[in-house]
Amino acid sequence: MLEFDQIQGLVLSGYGHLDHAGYVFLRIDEAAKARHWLAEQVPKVTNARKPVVKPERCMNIALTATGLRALGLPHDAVESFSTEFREGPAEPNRARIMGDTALNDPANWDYGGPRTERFDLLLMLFAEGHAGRDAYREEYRAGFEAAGLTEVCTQNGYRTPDSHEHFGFFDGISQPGIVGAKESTSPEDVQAGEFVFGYMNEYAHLSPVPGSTALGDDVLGKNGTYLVFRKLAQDVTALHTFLSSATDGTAAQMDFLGAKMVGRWRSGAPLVLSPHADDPLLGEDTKRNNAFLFAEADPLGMACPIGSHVRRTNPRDSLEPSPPESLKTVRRHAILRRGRSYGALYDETNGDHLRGLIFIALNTDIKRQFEFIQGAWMNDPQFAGLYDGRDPISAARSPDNPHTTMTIPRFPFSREVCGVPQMVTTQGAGYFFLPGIAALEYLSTLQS
Amino acid sequence: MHNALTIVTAIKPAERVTLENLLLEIGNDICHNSYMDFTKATTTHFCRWVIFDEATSTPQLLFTSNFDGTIDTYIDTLIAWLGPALDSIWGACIDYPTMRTTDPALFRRQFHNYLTTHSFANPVFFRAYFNRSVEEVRRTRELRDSLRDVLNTPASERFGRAASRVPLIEQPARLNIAGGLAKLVGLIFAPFNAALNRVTYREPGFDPHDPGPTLHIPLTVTERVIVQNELTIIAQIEPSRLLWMRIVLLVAGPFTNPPFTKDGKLSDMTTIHFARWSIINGREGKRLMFESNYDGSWEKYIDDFIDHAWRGLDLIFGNCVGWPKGGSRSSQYFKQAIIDNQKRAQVFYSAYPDMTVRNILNNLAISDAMGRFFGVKAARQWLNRL
Repeated sequence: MLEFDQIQGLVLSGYGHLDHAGYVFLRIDEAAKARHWLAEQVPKVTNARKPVVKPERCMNIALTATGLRALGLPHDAVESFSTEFREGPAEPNRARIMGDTALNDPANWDYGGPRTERFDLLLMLFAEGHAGRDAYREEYRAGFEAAGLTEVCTQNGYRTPDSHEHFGFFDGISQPGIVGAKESTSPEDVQAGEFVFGYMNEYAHLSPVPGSTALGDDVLGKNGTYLVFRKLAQDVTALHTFLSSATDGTAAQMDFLGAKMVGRWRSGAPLVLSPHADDPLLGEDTKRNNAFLFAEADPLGMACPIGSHVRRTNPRDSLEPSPPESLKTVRRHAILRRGRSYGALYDETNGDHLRGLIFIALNTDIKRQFEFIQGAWMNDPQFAGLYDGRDPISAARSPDNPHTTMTIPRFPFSREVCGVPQMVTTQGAGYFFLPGIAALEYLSTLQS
Repeated sequence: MHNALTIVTAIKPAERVTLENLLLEIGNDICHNSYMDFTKATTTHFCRWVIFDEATSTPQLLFTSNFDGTIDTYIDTLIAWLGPALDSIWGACIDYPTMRTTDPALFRRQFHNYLTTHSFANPVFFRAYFNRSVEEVRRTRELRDSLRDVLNTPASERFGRAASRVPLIEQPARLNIAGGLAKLVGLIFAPFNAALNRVTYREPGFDPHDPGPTLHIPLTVTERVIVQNELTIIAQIEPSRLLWMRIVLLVAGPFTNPPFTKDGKLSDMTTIHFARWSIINGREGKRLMFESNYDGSWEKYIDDFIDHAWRGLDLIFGNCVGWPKGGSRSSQYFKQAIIDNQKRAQVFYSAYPDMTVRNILNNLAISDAMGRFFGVKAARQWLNRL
């Protein structure tokens, strides 16, 4: 079983009962004071032990590579963290491979890019109601100066009332089960080492713990994980305009095309289980809305297109060479998602307002998990034998072509929908280390 | 018909830097560099130039090519296509015949000799689209593009939607002879596979508590500018295992060709265009040269290799110096060994920089089916019946 008391709570829960979140990006200006502040936070950090009563406030802390250095972590120990984490998502080659070019260029980011201020520490606050979240944040703000911390910027996030993201689709359905998180294990559960350092991973190895060789001790890395943070702006007007222009303009056809792009209807009902029309009861039924596979029910993508969002971010049993091999492969590229929406809910009058998704993913190998899903599946125009089809809803387009093509398999011949514009734009990002509780305490005891 | 050329020539030490700069300049701009016009390389699928150094001897230049036709014709093609670039590239190597401009006829004979005496056999030569020429690959792509253009018009779209309501008449299932044969071959080789398992897994060194080194993968290794990537490994063969290596490659060779490769796959992998293993000379002993032209990222490729082809990998790479005791399934150690032995190609040319193996096989299948069932006369007769 997992050491629940030692793991930060965000790993096992998105704190859904607390609908508002504040993500505060901080810079460490005075190490000694910051370490003192960190020591004070240790008993307050929310851990993964299931509480008897759900708390009214939750708090978690993550650090960047610059943050670890600023706190005084020795060079060797910092170097033992992965290259992706140390270089960050704005590194030019990485950004290019991840599709963060042109509209997504880090130069345009609100935070995390080469033109914005450095941040070292991410303070994540969760509370009920935006007033509750604001008050919580103000309490912390009162103490930053004495803690040698400067607030670089802050980002709000919230759970929409119906858990639909801004494009209108029910989000957050498919999350991997974790071995050791509950008493009972289901065969689809993923090894804990994929999400927490120090446990068995999908390669039958103990996932390597950063810092253990340099420090001769597990304390820094064990029970921690990497946190991928991305601010993704969503252009809802662009989606509606596109759906209208690519169909006869009726709600039925627009919904159908939208569902083909995502792989689910707005209610969350998967196309594989309900190919012709939405089924809201299925969409909200957590026992059924994720219980499907592709190989037997939909091998050619006639129900759920090969290039659709849910099929390419989680191919399940549809990858070569065989369904059992595919399931094994997919478990090696799994992430936990803990994101929330930002910006006002969309209506016809406020289409130009800024809104989108704060995408947060947890994994122990950024390259093999998050970056692989984004690079090898989502952004790949030749995913699974396609010719020129990036993820229609979420992928960046290429620097020389603002559009992509969506192939909808159909008898007697597939429909190719050309001219699909980019609808999601990267506006900020960061790679963080979400330490275990003992690690936070250890970091607070470092000497400069 | 496909052919492979593996040429290794010694570089004059004083010219190494100039040659490297020249090759890098070409490699960084395949389409518009001023030294070679790749549009003239009409029979070349993939080719590369790789400079590699060995500890105590002269630097070497490796040239590999995957092309259509015979070797003799190809060498003539090289002369015509590369022209002055021959002098700049192989002119920097020892023993190059220098009379290209002054006595073309003599040069042709001498250059043929030069290349053939410096070439090495390719006992294992895998190709996904077996013996299909560059021209076929290009033409079938144009065919599909034209068909799609027609199908994408609004009129076709209306037809498509209407046709989807036409009831299909099921044809009775036909005896699948090819499928049955494939299953039979599989059954025959099953005990052989099991024995292979025991042979290759002789040195268990797999330790779940030792995940291996943290990899620092150089970006030049993983950079992807076109759809395909190149992998060139030159590893020293353990002298005592040289004979075994030769036997393994000789026996493995036929298994990487039809009928043993189904659907263009090498060990269940659908991402390899061309791959080969050869034994080349090195100063301190023989080297194993592995070259691959594949789709997707380096990591995905190596992971796929480890997942699907570990037996073959261990049989072959296991004979090299520095290879992990636990075999390729000690994946971090295996990847580290690859990084240590991987050479970067200064020039990497692909005849189809934007097509994956699956795209190419799909295009060929579309064209083949039409050719088989819809020769023009048959098509006219069938259409006449509508």
